[in-house]
Amino acid sequence: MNKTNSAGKRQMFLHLPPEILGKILLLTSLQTRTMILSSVCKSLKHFIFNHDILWSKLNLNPLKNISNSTISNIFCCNIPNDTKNFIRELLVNDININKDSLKIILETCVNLKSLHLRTYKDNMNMKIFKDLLEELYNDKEQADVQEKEENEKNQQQSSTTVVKPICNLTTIYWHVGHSFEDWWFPMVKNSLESTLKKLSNNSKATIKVPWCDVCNQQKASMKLTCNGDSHRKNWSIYGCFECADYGNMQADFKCDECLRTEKLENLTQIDVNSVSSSNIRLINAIDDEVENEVVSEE
Amino acid sequence: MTGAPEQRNVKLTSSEGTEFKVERDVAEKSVLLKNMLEDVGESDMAIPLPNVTGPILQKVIEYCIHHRDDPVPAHDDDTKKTDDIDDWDAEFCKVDQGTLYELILASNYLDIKPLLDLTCKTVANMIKGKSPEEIRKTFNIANDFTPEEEEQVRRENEWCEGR
Repeated sequence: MNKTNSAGKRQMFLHLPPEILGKILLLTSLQTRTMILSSVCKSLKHFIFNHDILWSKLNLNPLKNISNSTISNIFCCNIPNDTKNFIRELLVNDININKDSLKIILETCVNLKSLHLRTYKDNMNMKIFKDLLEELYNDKEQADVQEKEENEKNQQQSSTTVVKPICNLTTIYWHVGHSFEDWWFPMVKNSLESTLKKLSNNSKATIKVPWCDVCNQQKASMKLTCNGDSHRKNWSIYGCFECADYGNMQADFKCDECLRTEKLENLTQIDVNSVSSSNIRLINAIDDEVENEVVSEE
Repeated sequence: MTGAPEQRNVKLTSSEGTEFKVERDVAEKSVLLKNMLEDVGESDMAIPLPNVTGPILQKVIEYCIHHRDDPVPAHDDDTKKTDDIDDWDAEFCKVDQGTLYELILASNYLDIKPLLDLTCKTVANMIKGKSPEEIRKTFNIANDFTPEEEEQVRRENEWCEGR
């Protein structure tokens, strides 16, 4: 049956309805879609970069080379312009992002509605973000120019109106810095929130803080300190009640990085005599883990 | 089954005209059929399913019978994991690709979300861990890139390398 149908079966995968093909591809990681599947054939590449749901929620946390120095290239060169328009929610809360990088993101992802960020000491806090929003979207300059024009309406003066882009951003999921003892300052949070409401012209615009590191779905309610050995100083994550198992998780809690390190050490110790096979297993273990993490996060 | 309330059977007709009798709660695993049955009320008329062939409808019914007592999923958080397929479901999906695609289309048409999720996960698992060439081979896809274009695509997407 397979042999007789092989001609008919040819490229059937590509002829699935777009919503179903999109659903299948959404079950693969961002890396698999962009680095592997887009190299399979032209139509699959076109589909991947032009299918809304594959980009509407973009999680950049698992990327190897993501940093302030690469964000500019990613958003200005690597991701096609049309594709960037699909991005509605962006997760960059594991990246020590600074104001310049954030500016690039906000300028290039014009339809961005939700953003996951983290407080990073010196690089990013709510005050920096508020200033950036005002710099990008506040039409104060425009108002000043118009006022001036009204006052001098009899004088022929060329208009210098600066058209500011519309702020579509309405929700910021703010994750708390790992080594940041103060969770957040309500006054600063309220100030950022009111700025966001004003600039987005949306009374429901909100800052969700502190946000759960584990599920990305709810407000964090507990701090979990990692008992692993990968960190120089205390390392904590913040979880909601459910993810923190109502506090019971703290006793033996180790973060993903520490668990991964332990797993690698164990694997190395088990098979010290067979170096080559051990290496292959290590690589496979890492691949499996990365893939699983990506899928669950997405 | 003793003491259980008697279930009315529902008749379904496949695209070739083959008639299948199933219990109503089995048929109602399909949102499409559930809505139809609610609209039509009690009737002995067979429901025509022109988009589903007999063998595929048979498979769909087999799935619905096995999962007839499953609760309706409250939310779809778990649907993005692809490693949670149980043994029966994995065995159920061991079919040729043509059948798998027809099952996908049928579950989409009949609106049976758990079956659609299962079949899509099965296809996604066929992709995972493979190279572009292996994926072409698996899905019988022709490579229409020149070697230079393929290299360019690879370079364009290097940014996306995982940790």
